[in-house]
Amino acid sequence: MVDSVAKNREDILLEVKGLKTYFHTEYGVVRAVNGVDITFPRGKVVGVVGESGCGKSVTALSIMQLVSQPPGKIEAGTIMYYPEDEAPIDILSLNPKERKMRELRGKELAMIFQEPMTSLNPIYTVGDQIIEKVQVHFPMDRNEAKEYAIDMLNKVGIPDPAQRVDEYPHQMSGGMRQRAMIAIALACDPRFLIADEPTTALDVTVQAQILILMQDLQQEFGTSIMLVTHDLGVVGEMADVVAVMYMGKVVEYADVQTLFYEPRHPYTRGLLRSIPLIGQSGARWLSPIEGMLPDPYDQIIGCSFAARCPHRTEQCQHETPPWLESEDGRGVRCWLYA
Amino acid sequence: MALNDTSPEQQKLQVDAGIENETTERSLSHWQLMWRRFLKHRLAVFGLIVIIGLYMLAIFCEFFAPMDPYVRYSQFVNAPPQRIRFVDHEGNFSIRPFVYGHKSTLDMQSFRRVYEPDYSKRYDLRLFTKGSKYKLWGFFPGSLRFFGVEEGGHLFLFGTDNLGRDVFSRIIYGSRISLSIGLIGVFISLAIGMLLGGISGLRGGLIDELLQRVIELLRSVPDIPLWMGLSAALPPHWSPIRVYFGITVILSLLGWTHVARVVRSRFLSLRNEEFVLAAYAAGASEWRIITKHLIPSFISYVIVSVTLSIPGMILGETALSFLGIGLRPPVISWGVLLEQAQNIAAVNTYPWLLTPAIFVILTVLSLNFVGDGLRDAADPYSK
Repeated sequence: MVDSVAKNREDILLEVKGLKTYFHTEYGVVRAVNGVDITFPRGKVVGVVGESGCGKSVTALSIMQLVSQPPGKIEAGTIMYYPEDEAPIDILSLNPKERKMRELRGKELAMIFQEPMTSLNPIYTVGDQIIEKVQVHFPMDRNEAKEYAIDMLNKVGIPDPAQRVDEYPHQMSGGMRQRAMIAIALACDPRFLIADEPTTALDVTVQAQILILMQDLQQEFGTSIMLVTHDLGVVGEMADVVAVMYMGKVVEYADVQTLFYEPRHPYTRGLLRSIPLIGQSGARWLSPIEGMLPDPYDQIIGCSFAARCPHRTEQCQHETPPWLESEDGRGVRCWLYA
Repeated sequence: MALNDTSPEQQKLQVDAGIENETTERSLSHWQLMWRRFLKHRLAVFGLIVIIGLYMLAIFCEFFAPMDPYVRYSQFVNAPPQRIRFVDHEGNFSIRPFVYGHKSTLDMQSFRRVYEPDYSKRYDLRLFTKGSKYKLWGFFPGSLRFFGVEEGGHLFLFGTDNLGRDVFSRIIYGSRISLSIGLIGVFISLAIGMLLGGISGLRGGLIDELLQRVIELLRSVPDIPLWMGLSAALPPHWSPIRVYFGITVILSLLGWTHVARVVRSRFLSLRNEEFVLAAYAAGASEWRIITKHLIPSFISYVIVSVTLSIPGMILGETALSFLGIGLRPPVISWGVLLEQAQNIAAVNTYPWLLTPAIFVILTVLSLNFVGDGLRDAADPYSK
C-alpha cells in the first residue's frame, strides 16, 4: 500500500532526527522546531504542510544550516545526508560557514524561495547569477558557464533563453523569475531540493505552470524535493509523501493517498475538512479548526493540539503523545492510536 | 510572455510609433541606468562640468596660471584688477584683448598708493605664451602657459595682494591644495567608514553598540573647536606637506561617521534580503556575498554620501586655514588666501582679496548639485 515511504536504508537520501531549533529572543524562547523527525526518500517529493509558524520553513533552513544565529540555535538532533557512493554526512556536525558545508549547499542541497521578486539580486543579470553559482562549484570558464546558463533557462521553459540570459530580474514577470530561480537552484544538479512555498506568491495560472515544470524537472533530474507549503492542493498534486507539522512537531507522516483518504491525526482531519471542495453538495459547510494557535512562547505540557482537539482526553493534557509508527512506515503522534 | 509573442513587424511598428518598449531598456546595467537618470538632471550636469573644469585647473595649475604665484611685484602692492580691453583709450578697436599696465601715485592724504592705467604700456593677451619657468608637479620643467602677456609685462586679473603677488594665479595654485584635500580626506573617511560601518552592520552586538556610541560622541562635539584643538596639536616644526596630511587626517577623522552610518544601515537592511539568503543557499561564501552582492547593491548610496561630504571637507580646510591654524604660508590654499581678507579695512579697500571665496562657493555649490543629481539617480523610485 505505502510504496512511497522508504522502507530500506538505501532508499533514504536525507533523514532528520530529533531536530530542535530554538530562537532565543528578548521575550523568551520560541521553540520553532521542537523534535522533528522526517525521512526523505530518494527521488521522491515530500510535502511538508502546516499553518504559518508551525516550523516548516525553519526545518528547511535548518537542513541548509541557514538559520540565522543568533537569535536562532539548533539545540539538538541529527540531519544525516546519504550521498550515493560516499560516506553519510551529519550536516549538523559541519560548521555552517566552513567550506565543507558551502560545498554541500548549492551543489548537493539547493533551495527555492517563496518570493521570486526579492530572491534574485536586482543588480545582476539572470545569466550572471546562474554563472556565478556554476563557477562557485565547478571549474568552468565564463563562456562554458554561460552556455550552461542558457541551457538551464531553456530547460525551465524560458523562451528566447539566449537573449533572456542578459536580462535583469526587473525585466521579467513573477512567473519568469520563479523559473529563473528554479534554473539557479537546479544548476549543478543537486540531489535534494527544498522548495519553500515556491508558488505562494504567483498567480494561480502561473502556479500550475510552475508545479508542472517542477514535476517534469524532478522526473528528469531524479531530484528529491522537500516541498514546504500550506496549500494542500499543491501537496495533493505534487507530493509522494506528506509530513504534517503542528507547533514544531511532525504530527503525521504518510504517503499522499493514505493521508488524503485515511487521515489519522485529528489535526490532519481538521485541515482536510477546511478545504473547499467544488462540486460537493451545498449541505456541507467548511468547518474550520476550533480555537487559535497557542502563544509560541508558551511551553505546552501534553499534546500541543489538545486545546483544539475534539477527541482530547485527560491523558492528552498531561502527557506528550509518543510517535507511533506502523510497519508500513506511516506515523502519527496521537494518543488515540496508542 | 506577451512581449515575446510580438512579431518583429509589431516591434518595429512600436518603435516607429515612438513607443518606448522594453527592448530599448534591454541589457542596460544598473550603472548605465543611473547615468541616464543623472544626465536628466541639468544642474547636476552643469555642476559636474564645473567640477571637472576646476579639477583640471588644479591638476595643471602651473600651465593655467598666467603668473608665478610666488613672485612679488613690489612696485604693484595691493594693485586692483586690470581690465581686459578690446577698445583702447583713443577708441580704436582691436580684436585681440589687451590690458594696460599700472602706474602708481602716492595719495599724500591717506599715504596709500593709487593705481591708474598707464596708457603707454599695453600688453596683449595671448594663448599658449611662454611665461616664467615652472616645474609641472615639481618634476617636469616647462614655461608654456595657457594664456598670458609677453615677457616683461604683468597681468593681474584679480589684482595683487599686500606683497604684490598675482591673486588670480595664487587662486589657481590654491585650488590644488583646497580641492585635493577634499578628495583625499573623503577617501580616508570612506575607507574608515566602510570598514567600521561594515563591521558594525555585519557583526552587530556589542561592537555595533560601541561603535554607534563613539559615532554619536564624535558627532555631538562641535566641529570647529574640535578641529582647532586637533590642529593646534600638530607639531609646529612639521613641514608644510606633513601639515597638509595632518589636516586631511583631522578632517576625515570626523568625516567617516557619516559614511559609517550609511554603510551600516545598508548592511542591516540588505542582509535580511532574500537574495542574500538565496546566495548563501547556493553555496557562496560570506566574503563573496559581501563583496559581490552587498557592496555593489549599496555603493551608489555611498558615492552620493561621499560626494555630498567633499564640500564639507573643503570648507573645513578653508575655515581652519582662515583661522590661521590650518595650512600656513608659503603653502597656497584658498583658506590661506582668504586669511588676508580677515579684517574689514582690508576688505573695504582691497575687495579683490575676497575673490578666492567666489571659487569656494562655486566649488561647494557645484559639488552639492552633483551630489543631488547622483542621489536622485541612485534612487530607482524617483521620477
